[in-house]
Amino acid sequence: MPFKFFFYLIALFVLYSAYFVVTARNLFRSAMGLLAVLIGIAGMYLLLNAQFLSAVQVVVYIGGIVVLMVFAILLIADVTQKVFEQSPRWRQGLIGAASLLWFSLLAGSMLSYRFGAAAAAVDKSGSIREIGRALLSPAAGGYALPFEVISLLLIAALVGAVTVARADADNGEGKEGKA
Amino acid sequence: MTWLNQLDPTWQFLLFSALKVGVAVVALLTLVAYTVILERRLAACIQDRIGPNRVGPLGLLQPLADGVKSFLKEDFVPGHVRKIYFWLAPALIMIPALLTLAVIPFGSRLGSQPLVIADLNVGILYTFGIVSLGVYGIVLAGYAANSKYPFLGGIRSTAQMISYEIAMGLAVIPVFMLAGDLNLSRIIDYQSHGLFSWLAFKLPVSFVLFGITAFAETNRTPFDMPEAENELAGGYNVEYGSMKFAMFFMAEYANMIAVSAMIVTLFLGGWTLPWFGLDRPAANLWVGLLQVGIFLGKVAAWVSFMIWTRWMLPRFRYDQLMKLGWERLIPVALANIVGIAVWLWMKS
Repeated sequence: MPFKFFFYLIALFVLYSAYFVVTARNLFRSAMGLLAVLIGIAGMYLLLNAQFLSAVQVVVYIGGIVVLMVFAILLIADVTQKVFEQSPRWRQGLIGAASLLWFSLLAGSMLSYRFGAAAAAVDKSGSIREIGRALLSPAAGGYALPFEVISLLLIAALVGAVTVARADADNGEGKEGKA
Repeated sequence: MTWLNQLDPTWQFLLFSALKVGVAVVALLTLVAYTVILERRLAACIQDRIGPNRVGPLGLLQPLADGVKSFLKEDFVPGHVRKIYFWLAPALIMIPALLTLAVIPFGSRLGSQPLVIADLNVGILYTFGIVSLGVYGIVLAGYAANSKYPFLGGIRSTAQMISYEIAMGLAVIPVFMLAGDLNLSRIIDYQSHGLFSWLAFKLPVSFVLFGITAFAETNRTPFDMPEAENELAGGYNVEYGSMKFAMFFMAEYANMIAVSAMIVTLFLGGWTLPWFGLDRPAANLWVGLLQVGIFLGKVAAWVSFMIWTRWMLPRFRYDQLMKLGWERLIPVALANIVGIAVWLWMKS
């Protein structure tokens, strides 16, 4: 069973990398761990025959988001600092409890959902043409409305971020001008 | 050759894939070696010098001498570097350059074998994913070196890669709107109806945008900020020596060849020529080989163009680089997409 072998291999890799992300005492190393997690998940998609999803995962998360994170870490964090202080015990406990709660919620909702047979889904989710149609068709079976709502949400977030950043920048320049 | 036909399809596929991978990698590394000497000779011509001409006839054995020299140098690891990343970076920068080659059709076919290693349906997305991995090699090198100049090179590289990747992705979208497919073989089919079906002529704006961003993605002048010699003393690879430095050096040229191959495939008709029926899949072995030659010729032409540009233009200042990326290229690319979409809609 090569499929099962690779599945468990990748799952193990992803889980270990995820553990590394939260336990690493250095931000840069955490980011590298996150990179490994995302690569593993892209591999998982590939194993499940979702080529498009896998490629998008690599382009967006690995090529975009983690690069941005690394950029921010290099700019902001004191990278000469080797290790970071561990958070206090009560905080670790709280985080553990929150993760456990989240995990049980996810697991519960996934177990209670009745997934359709895999055979019916395979030929639809594989091709880009089908994905494009599903995303943009306003007819039944299309997801045009949710798609547009998400776009709107993202634009709102973007504009919000720019506004927050600009307000800060204006204040900063004002102070410099006075001094 | 009868034993080949008697093998079952899985083994045949494995055997031929391994063969194609081997030949492609060896060919790429050879091309890298000769691109280096081409760059040095062209630079010499442009600057009215002679260039390396002593090793072998016309200096053609110079790459061999350089390779031997890199291998014989002591592989020195400075004491202040972060060891794991320091070892990882040269590999991480070389791998993407080699991986890009997997989806590019470098010929029509030889016998019954299609000349592409992996004919993916998401071909171009795959290349974008792989190209975006290239930045990690530079960032890791900068971080690993644990000293100022490489670090600055790494930071510059991340910002530049993110900015220009967006423009590159947007520039390529009209290609798919016209060709209607992400598969690179299909895109070449689309371009095999005469010279003016080449996408460079159909989509000149996309072609120019993609060409510009290709320079930025490969860190070539005028966008070679991460390794600006006179500001950063060489940038991200300052702390490297011996074969590890050679890896960075080779990766730069391998990336150049990979991106040229992408441009040739997307915009310049791939292995086709619109004359003598060379735009159809090869009927016999010789035509197949000729088409591989055509592909290599086009790639070599674009590589020479990139080299020529390097010795003609000065480097951008960093703010100019960002301004060009975000305030010029991206709006133009977006307008291009909307324009092509409207045109297609009017036509249908």
